[in-house]
Amino acid sequence: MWIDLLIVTCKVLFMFLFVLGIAGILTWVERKQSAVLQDRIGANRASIFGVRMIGLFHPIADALKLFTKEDFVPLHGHRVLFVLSPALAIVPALMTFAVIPFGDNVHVLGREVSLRVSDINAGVVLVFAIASLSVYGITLAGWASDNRYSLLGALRGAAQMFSYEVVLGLSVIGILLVYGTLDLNEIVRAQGGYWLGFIPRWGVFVQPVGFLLYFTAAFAETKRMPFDLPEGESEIVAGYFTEYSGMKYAAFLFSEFCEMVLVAGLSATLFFGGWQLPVDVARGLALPLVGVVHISGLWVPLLQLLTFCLKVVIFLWLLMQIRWTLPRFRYDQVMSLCWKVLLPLVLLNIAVTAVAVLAVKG
Amino acid sequence: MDFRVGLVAVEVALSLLALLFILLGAWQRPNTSPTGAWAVAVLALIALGGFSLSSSGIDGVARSFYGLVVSDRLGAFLGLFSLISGLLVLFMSPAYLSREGIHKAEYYGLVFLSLVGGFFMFKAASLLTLFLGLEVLSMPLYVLCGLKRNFGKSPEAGLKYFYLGAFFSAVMLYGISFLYGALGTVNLEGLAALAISSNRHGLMCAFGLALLLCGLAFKAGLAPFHAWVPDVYEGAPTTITAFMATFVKVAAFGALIRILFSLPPDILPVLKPFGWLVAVLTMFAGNLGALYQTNIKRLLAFSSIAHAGYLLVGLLSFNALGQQGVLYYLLAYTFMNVGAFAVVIAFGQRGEENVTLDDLRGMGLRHPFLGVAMALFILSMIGIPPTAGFVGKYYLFAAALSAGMPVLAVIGVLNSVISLGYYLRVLVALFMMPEARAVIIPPKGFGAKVAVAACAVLVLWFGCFVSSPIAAFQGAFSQSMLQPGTIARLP
Amino acid sequence: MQAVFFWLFSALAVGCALGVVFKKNPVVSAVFLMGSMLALACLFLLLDAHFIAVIQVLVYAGAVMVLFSFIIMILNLPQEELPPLALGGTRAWGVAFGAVALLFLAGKFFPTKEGFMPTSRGFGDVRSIAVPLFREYALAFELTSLVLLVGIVGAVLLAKRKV
Repeated sequence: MWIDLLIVTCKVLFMFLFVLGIAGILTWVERKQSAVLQDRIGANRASIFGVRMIGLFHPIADALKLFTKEDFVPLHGHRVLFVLSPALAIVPALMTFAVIPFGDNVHVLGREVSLRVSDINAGVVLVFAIASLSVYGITLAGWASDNRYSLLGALRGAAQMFSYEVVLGLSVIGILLVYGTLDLNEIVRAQGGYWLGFIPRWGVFVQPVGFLLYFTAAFAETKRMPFDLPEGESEIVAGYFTEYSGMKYAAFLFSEFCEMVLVAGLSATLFFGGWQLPVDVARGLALPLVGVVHISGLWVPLLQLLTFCLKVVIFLWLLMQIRWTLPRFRYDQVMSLCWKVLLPLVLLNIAVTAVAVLAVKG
Repeated sequence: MDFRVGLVAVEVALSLLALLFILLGAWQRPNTSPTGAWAVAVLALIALGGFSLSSSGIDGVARSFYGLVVSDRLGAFLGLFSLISGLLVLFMSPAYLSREGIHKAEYYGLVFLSLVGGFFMFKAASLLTLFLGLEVLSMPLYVLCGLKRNFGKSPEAGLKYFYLGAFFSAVMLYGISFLYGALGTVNLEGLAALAISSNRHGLMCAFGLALLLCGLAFKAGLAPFHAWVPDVYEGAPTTITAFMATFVKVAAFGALIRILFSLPPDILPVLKPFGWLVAVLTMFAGNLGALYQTNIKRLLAFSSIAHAGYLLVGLLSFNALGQQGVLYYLLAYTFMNVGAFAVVIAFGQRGEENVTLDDLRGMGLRHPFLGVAMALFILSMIGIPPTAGFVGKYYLFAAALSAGMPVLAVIGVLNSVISLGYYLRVLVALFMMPEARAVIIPPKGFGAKVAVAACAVLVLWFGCFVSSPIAAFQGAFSQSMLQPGTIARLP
Repeated sequence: MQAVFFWLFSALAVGCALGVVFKKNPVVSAVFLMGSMLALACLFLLLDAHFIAVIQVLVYAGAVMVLFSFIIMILNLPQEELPPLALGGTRAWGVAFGAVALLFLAGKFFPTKEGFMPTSRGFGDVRSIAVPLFREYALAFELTSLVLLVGIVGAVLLAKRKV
């Protein structure tokens, strides 16, 4: 009983640290990567006793600054909802990690432990269910602020997010059809091994269209650059969080980064083999000169964790790169892209996949 | 048990065509008429009607979709009536819709989907199918009622019908949930186990059944749930009014038949007094209300309430005469009502002009074909031989007499006499009054005239040649799931 | 442990439902309704009905209620001026009817000597919902899809400025 509780606590703690840690670093990455893209140096001034660490102290400085700012609440807004909405924005983003597996099941202390927080058998649907709640944070924030720009941002955000949610949900149906399960760990397990000995059995190779659609819709869900209409600082000040300051503002910022981590994690899990190692654990890794290296014991889950993190980092890099490359869409373009282009494509993808699965599996 | 989709081929075909029409509507250019869609719709209904007619001779009962749908002769006949109603409405649609500027391909799609819903209502072998059929039938009608967005009363009609319809759907669903709680099943066979007095779930059964019947009574326009009928019938596009007045009655009465005949015999004595009261109320509400109407669409709406009352009289007698009478009257009623509305369309002008009794003055003499046809439909509604309406009413009231309900029969005849009061006003206006208007706009709409002619011929035909349809309708009940003992023999 | 969670989430569901009724601000009511939905989903989770729970969140809290609050915000509904809570007329009837229905249901469903019926194996997981849905009730599923289709087409037909 106590050991079980301990294990669960460990998993929850690890997950929180993982997501929040990466999100914290992302605030720095965002500045640095944009600087590289724009041929600047970027944030490098924060220093502790003269040590600058290529600007890595900036997140800490930011946090200190945000903590000490005035915590402003609009006079005529709805006070309770105004305070509640940053939490509503960040909680779903963190909760969804509960079903994403970091590695295969391991044997610890005489019991089989899965390397994820919760073993819910409808994992994929849970992710989308919880993610669909994040829209409340935006809409309520915009409404409770009692500010026209905020309300406009909230309405934009709500419309954009539930439009793209449709595409997002439908885009993974193909993967579910192929693997025949809603359990994310099962999906990852099914992606082990190779075709022809060298092409990994990743979902992206059976569902290329599905992946592109998923990635586009998920990107829109993060409300980042080409899709940052709810924020739209050149049009509506700062959109739904115009009135927010201090740590409440930071919560919105963090929820955005957490969502990025989530999108990266889900992309890796659903389409790029998740924690699958690039080697056959049973046969070991044949290295030239060194010979066959066998991986065993706790090295296996550790390496799996590392693989997963690496994939996440690569996707985060890609997300950043896209964000700093493309300019913002017009609002009607965002909507017609969703309903007139992505939705028909995603439906077609499902139909084709269903027929193909029926033909192959009989 | 299996899907056996072949048994619902008509419904599948209708649904697929409806999807096609909706798609065509998406690519239709503004200010064009979807003549192709109309032609396809008419041809499809003719073909499906022929198919239904040929399959209406089937013996016995077949079930499909894991027992959710039943295919028997009763369903085939009611389906045929619905298709006829739809076809006649389609004939008068293009001219009317173009006149009102709402000729869209989606119109045909929605009409077809509504038909699909009706089919599943009277082919239901489970309350689940019945309820979903009702929804599929109703939703397109809500939209169609409000289609004339620029004419004030049309959106009002759509909205009114939607709100009340949604409310009564909820009532009905609530009733079904009670029945499910008490019986543990929603199959119609399960209703045979329903017992109000002896069972320990008696209260739940009674409550559930009452709510379920209320929901259906609303759709059928029975009193005291009839108040929506005049407003909705007046505001809706006239073609849709004709469609609702005939097809929805067929579907609602089909569903009522399915439920009433599935009940165990010992409940009927409890149920009959309520039915008696509803029938009497409905007849009086319709006929007395119609006496004060000057708008002919409203007048026909009240008359359709009264007709629902007559139909209920036949249904309540629970004998062979009543069963034949109900089917015969539904058919006759379809012809005379669609015909009357087609005449209204032919006389009418853009924006619902020309539909009051004053506008019709002297039109019968100026346009003798339409005038005579209207007179024929009116006579049939009154129940004067040799029209189909007479035969139907004769069977209904004879059934009430032979079932030992002479008072009900007398009230029915009395109501027919009351109805003379407003039906004759229409005839007087048409033929015995001087023309009211200086400028006479000639009636337009070839399709409407075709529908009028067809209805007139059929009203006379079914008024004169009675025996073979009566024989066929007798078989409809004996070869269906409703016959006692059939349920036990089902596979 | 289970019982604690059960009472916790039940209280939350009922409390939020009361909030929906008694709060005068439509947006706040919507938020309470969402809370009630979430609490219900948690109750389903306690029954091991993972899939139903998730769908409850996805459909009601995530989709329906979002649309609700979206519409409320677009219309910018003012705070409704409700009359002070007084028992009289229709409200008295409503309360009486509700009380009777509650007692009736309580009599039916409260734990008796036999206790609650245990849920069957696989209750509420994906397979036990999917198989009947696409086999025994495939027709109902398809008919529902038709209803939804009509809803969409009808909304466009009635609301679009130039059809």
